[in-house]
Amino acid sequence: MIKTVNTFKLRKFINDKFVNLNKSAYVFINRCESSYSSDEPPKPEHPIKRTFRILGNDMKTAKNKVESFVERMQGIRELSNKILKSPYRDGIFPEHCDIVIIGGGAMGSSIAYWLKQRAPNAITVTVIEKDPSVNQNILSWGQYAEASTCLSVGGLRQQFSLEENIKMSLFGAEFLRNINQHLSVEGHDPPDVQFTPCGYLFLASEKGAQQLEENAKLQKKLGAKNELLTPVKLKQKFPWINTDGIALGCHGLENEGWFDPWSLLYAFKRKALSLGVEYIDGEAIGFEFKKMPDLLMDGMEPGSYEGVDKVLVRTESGEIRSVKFGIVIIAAGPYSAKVARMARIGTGDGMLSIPLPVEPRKRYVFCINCKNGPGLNTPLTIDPSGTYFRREGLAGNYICGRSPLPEEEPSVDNLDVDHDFFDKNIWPVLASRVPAFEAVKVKNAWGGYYEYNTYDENGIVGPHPYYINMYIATGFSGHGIQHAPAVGRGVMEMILDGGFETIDLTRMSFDRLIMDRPLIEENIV
Amino acid sequence: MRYQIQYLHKYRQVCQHLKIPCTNNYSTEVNSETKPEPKSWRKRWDQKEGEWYSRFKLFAPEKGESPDVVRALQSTSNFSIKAVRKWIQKSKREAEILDMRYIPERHQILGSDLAAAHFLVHRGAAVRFVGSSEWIKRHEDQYDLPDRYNRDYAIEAIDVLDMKLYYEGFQNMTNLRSLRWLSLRNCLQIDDWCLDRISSEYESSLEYLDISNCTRVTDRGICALYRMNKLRTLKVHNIADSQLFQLACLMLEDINPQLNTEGVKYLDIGN
Repeated sequence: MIKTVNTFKLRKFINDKFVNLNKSAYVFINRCESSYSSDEPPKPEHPIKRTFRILGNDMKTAKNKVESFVERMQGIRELSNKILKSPYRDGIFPEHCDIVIIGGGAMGSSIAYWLKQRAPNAITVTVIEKDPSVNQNILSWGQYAEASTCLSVGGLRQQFSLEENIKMSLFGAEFLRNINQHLSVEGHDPPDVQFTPCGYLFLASEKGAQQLEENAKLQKKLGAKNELLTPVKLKQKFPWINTDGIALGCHGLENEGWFDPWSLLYAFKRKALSLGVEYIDGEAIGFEFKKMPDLLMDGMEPGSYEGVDKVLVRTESGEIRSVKFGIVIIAAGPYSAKVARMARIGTGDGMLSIPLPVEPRKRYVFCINCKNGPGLNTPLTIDPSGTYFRREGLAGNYICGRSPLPEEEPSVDNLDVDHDFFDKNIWPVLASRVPAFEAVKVKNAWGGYYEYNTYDENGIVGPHPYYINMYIATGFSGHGIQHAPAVGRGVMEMILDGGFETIDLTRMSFDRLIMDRPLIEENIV
Repeated sequence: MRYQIQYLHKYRQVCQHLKIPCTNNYSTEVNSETKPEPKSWRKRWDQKEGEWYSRFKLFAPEKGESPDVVRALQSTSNFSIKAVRKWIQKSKREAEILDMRYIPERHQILGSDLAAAHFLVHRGAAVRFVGSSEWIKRHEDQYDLPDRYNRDYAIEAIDVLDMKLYYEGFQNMTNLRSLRWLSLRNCLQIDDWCLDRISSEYESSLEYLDISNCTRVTDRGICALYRMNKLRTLKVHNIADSQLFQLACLMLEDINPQLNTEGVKYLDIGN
């Protein structure tokens, strides 16, 4: 009799703990994301079946490992067929990991690299990227079609007004200089980011001259080199310029220029993969939560804490899998707000009522050709109106663009380019600033998303105040690529060292949104 | 709470408008030289009000174990010959770069010119001062340079000879106002970043630059030399093989009409 009672209680216990809990989590997700109400959420799995499935997976993993070891011993290199069979490292979908990074662009890959190079055998890192390859027929190796990283102009400058931004750019320059030591992988070509050290030239009218001068002083104090130029000197140094309306110019002298962001991303990703990071091609569509009533925190009712436990991923084949993690890092660029909303950031109460204010903003970049344009002495010039242009190559091509006014923001449904924008907003300014640009031809144009932080246009780097295992590294509003190495290192220090060791980014954490202390950066392009 | 935030924002704007002292200031208005404000937004969990600890808290470690210790313990040493060779090379390179570091005492005692001279000559380069025509070199670790600051010594020319000069070494060669002649011939560590450094340090005085045989320099490094308006001679033997490089040299000569590049073989359009 005792036996029967026990099995009955055991079955009830199992049902309560595992089967029903999963059900409630999925109900919540269905309520939130109406877009995928047509998909079948995975049925809650019976624990006995789960045990056998896990054992089966373990056998498969062991078999794969033995096979690859045997092949290596026999000197056979891994055939590319093997990769086609299964895109995952151990042959099966990674169901759990220590740190999951949502977003595999420059930020995500940088964080993954820094984490794994500091603790290669201690933690498992997984990166979820929804947009890795362009052409599904050819197994291309990671061509990010809509990711902001590859569509970026790739500038590197120290001319910011915020101390943290200047320091991060200085470290970015140092990292790129030593990229061979950091990111080279044995057996492959060394990474080459093609840095062109041509400098930046910020022009200011009467209104902004004072701010420009103060910024220049701060930058010099932190180790950046620049020089302030009066209109007369500007005309001397750069004869192609028209100095009407310019009161002051700031010319960056060292560690400023532009590079190829795709090469940097490729280098990060390749190095991360060689260190053991797992990249999942899929889209994060939701989180699973877990009540932790014994966790106490300031600012919430005792016993009400509900943390994020698993992230749900829709893989390329359409099925929905879950990844259980210890720490989650949101580095999803323009789509970070969507991911944050899946974790109830912005829709909950208390600390969860502050949304992540990052949204995609479309920016156009135009490639123009001018026969008699400015020659080699062309830094990346930024007009007081925000219009910028730089030389591209040596054949008379230039890249230009401008941030539209708030009321003219283009729609972000797609990356189509509005060519009227060039004729109406960019070309008049360019032609008046550089008389040689009166006769130009638009050769090419593309659009990309800024991960625009609507609160104060500066990055958000730090832990989330409510969730004990969530970090955020997003919102860089157009100057993210040059800060990617520094932010990656910062997040790694936060997680593995418990605090910032090298560059102190505490001012850029999510807390400033709660305290309402905007961190205004004056030099946004 | 969202509305509270928006209210606070509006409150700040109203205060500014009415010129009332406002308690809710922007982070950037705080002096960035001082300790950043946010350290007070979050208190460490063991420093909160109401927490009590005994005297033994003195011995409690502030941080956990360093991940570097864990990494060292978990790594399997690889003693194959290739790995040992790689490790030796890496250590050599790190030692050489450490040798190039900036030592403040050297510059305090000697001043910029003599400090740079000592730095270079000790490691095998040759230096020539303004007003003299002899090159100061080392002969078996002996060389003839003053060991105190002497105003009359200003470096006019540097020839790197067989010294391995890295990017970090340029930290020791700052503030050389009379440097007119610089030869980095055969120095294989020179790349685009070094040219960027040279172009920003010596833009007002350098007239002769020789980077022959520095194979790491590309056309982008040549673009960096646009700032040097006093440059008269540029030698680029043995690196100017690609058309892009030749075009860059040509465009550099365009913006600097007095520049004369040697070592570039322009395409003969006659044939």
